Amino acid sequence: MWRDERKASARRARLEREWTRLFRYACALTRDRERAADAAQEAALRVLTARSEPADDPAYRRWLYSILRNLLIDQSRRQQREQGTPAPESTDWRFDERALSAITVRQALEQLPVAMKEVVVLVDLDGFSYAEAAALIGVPAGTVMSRLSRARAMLLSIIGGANIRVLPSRHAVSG
Amino acid sequence: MPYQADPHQSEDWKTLNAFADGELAPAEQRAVAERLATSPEAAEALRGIVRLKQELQGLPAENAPPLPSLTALPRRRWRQLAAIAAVLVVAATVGPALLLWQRDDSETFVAASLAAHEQFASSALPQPMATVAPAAALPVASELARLGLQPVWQATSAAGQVRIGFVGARGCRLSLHVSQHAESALAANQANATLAGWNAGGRGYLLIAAEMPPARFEMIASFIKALTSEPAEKVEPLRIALQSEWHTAQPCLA
Repeated sequence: MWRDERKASARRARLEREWTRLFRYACALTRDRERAADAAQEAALRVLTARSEPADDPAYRRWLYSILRNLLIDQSRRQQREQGTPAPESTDWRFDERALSAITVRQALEQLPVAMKEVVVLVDLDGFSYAEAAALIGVPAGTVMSRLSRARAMLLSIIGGANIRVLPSRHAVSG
Repeated sequence: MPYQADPHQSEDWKTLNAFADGELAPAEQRAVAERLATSPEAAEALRGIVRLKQELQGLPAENAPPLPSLTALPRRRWRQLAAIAAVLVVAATVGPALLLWQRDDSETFVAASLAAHEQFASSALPQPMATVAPAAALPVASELARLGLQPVWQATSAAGQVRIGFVGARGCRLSLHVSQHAESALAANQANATLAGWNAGGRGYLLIAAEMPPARFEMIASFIKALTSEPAEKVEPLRIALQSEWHTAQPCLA
């Protein structure tokens, strides 16, 4: 029916608006652009063919991200892949804003363990609150707060400087 | 002495991060704000967190693959073709005119703002103004005045675009341009070392400061953007970080 087609088109347009951020989240969780692209596209198909979707925009975003995340967790379990990487050795840090450039920050972000990178992407890049990120990941808000503060300390540590010590993370993406 | 965020003080570091994110309860937020006022180390650490957040938010977008397409059902195909044909006819007739209108209108705002800033920056320094006339600009103007940026020039165009020029204690000149409606040319939330543009609350904003050190300009731009678009708890950390930044301010580059 014409109404169905219009609905499908509106759905697609809505997903299109979140698409770049969703793909970035997939990249953060996989560290592999090809795998991220496959997963994001599979998630998109699920979204586009779902019977219904949340009307409220924040709920819609949480729904999208959770579909992608659950899909990747299922894949990981099937393939029994190791998702986490050991945290880099802590180094001394002193804030030097001249060292903060986009290239440096992106490279530092790539070095974070997946669980830490995930909260940075959700909170700093995609604007989720601690409570929203916690609900999505399935952990308490306090865990998001801890991971995020350690992730930022680690980012600043990687970027280069003195006096911030970062505890290693044992977390990886988990349901 | 730099702020310590080692395991012995991890609660402090966590709290400071939550403060920067506007995630603390009002009482906790007040307590952290009081501490920041008396601890240069904590203020420096907050500034580092805020700058890191800004850098992260400024990272270019990933080059995403195309969205997958769903195969249409054959019985609907004629309807789709008819719809596409109708859209093409309308687009061919109306589209170019609409696009031209949008581009002209929005680019005019940016171009006029840049020209106005250039004139403001190259003219003799006027006396500070006692008041800023448009009520909508008052919150931003009063916040900047607290940082020592005094309004010295103001203009309103026939289209209702408001322009205010500020000068700092060290001679930096900064201008804020406000359009009465969102501007499509600002939709991408552009920002570079000398210019920041964004849409918020149905208005378009453009901030220009050609000679200001880039780090300070970015911080001011983030602060004003938050002021126009975020709740108070998200603004306060940026305000404190900016005040801390101000103490280490360098003269303008001009």
